Order: sequence, then C-alpha cells, then structure tokens
Amino acid sequence: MSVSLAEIFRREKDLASYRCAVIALGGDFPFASAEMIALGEAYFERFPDRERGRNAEEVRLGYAIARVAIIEKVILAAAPGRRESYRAMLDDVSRVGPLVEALLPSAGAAGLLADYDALLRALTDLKTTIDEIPKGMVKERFIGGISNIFNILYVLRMNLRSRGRD
Amino acid sequence: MADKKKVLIIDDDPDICESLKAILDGNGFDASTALSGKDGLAAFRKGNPDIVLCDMMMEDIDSGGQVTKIMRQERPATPVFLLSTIGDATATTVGLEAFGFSGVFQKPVNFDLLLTVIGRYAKTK
Repeated sequence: MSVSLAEIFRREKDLASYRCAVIALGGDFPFASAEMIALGEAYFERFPDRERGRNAEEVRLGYAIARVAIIEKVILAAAPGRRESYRAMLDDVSRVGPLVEALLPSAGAAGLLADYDALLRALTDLKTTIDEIPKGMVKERFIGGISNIFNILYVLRMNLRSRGRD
Repeated sequence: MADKKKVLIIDDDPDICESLKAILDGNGFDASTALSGKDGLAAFRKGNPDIVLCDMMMEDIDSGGQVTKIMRQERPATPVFLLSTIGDATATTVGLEAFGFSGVFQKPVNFDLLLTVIGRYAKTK
C-alpha cells in the first residue's frame, strides 16, 4: 500500500505501462478522494487542460487513467476467479456478450447476477468518493471515467435479462 | 425495423459512444455516434436523427452548447439532450440555458430515466 497512483503515473511513460503497473497491485492501493485528486493533478501537470482547441487524445487519456484505477478497485467485489473477465468487460463493452457466454457454464446465472450486484455496489461506493472531489477538471475526468463503467454494467444487466435470468 | 428512431450520440470519448450505442441499440433505437462537435454537426445534417444526445466539453469547453445552438436553429423540432459531466457552477459559467437543450442528463447516466424520456419523445415524432 506504499505506492500512490500519482507516483505510478509520474513514473510510467504511457497509458499501457501505467495500466500494467496498476494491475500489478491487484487493487491494493489507496483510492480515497485525496488520492484521486493527486492522480488528477499529476495528469494535468503532464497534460494541462485548456478551454479552446483541447487535445482530444489527452482528454481521453485522462478518462482512461481514471478508468484503469476504478476497474481495479471494482473487480475486487467479484468472485476471484472471474475478475480477469470483468476487467476485460469493464474495459471494452464489446467483450460483455462473449464473456458472459463463456462464464455462464461455470458461474451459473445466479453467480453472474451476484457478481453484477456486487460490482454495482462497489462502483456506486466509488462514485460517492468521486463526489467528494471539488468541482473542476479533475472531477470531470473521474466522472467521465466512471460513467463508462456504469454504462457497461448496464449492458451487462441487459445481457443477463435478455437471457431471461434476471 | 423501419420505424426505429434514430439517435445521434455526440461525445469525444469513443468508449462512452460505444457503450451508449450498445444500450440504445439494445433498447430498440438506431444509434450512431460522432466524436466531436464538428463531426456531430455533419452527422446531424446528413443523418437527420430523431433525437440527439450531446456532450458539452469536446474540442472546446462549450462545443456541445455551440453545436446544439446550430442544430436547434436548423431543426427546432429535434430534441437535443445534454450529457453532462459538469456541475451547476460550471453550467452557469458556460451558459447552459442559452444553448437550448431539451433536457440534461448528468453522467453517470440513469438509463432507466433516459430511456423513458427519449422513448416519450420518440413516440411524438
């Protein structure tokens, strides 16, 4: 629990290496609002925001950096053997259908529904933490980051319902 | 289905666009996406959507508002909803009311509400 996400971000050269370093922590890192703010400040040191002619790639990177950390915390709520699958789903909506299909034989519908409920609770708790961040661009990146994960969980719910198991 | 209502999503985050599209398509809409205000306006003119969902901060901090102003002038009957990550204070700064949005959905979006609201608009089109 000694290394902070801000330190990791400052140390790593790009999103891929930052993501690998965060995943290697297995969700064991501090992630209260103070750490979120510190991570956001580290990001804006490297990629200052501006009102006009914003760099879309840099803005998207901000969402992605927040998302990597949020996903690592949220998947801790799921059954350990299925965390890797949820990491992939929450990172890419197109993976939801195929991975649900792959998990169903072993996890069963009840297991996946329990995962869904636990993931949603964990995500909602993190949103409460994000709400503590003062209004501004750091908060904007975290809201943008977490929003897509809520969206993907909604797709997961739709997928489970469409199978008549919700 | 021929009577699917067309929804245009304008957001600079491709991941958000994809997940929104998956949700809308899965609920009987025909969704398309654009990743900037400029591309969104082009898609609006070309695709003639029934409903638009538009982010605010894209290439400029108020891109969504500026694009919405133009869309509302060109086709006042087409509802345009803001998908907002911004709070009330920033909303005041960028003059949210002046842009003519039909409504605002705060991110993370409550999809049960969004689908109900745009479903209601879709029935009137």
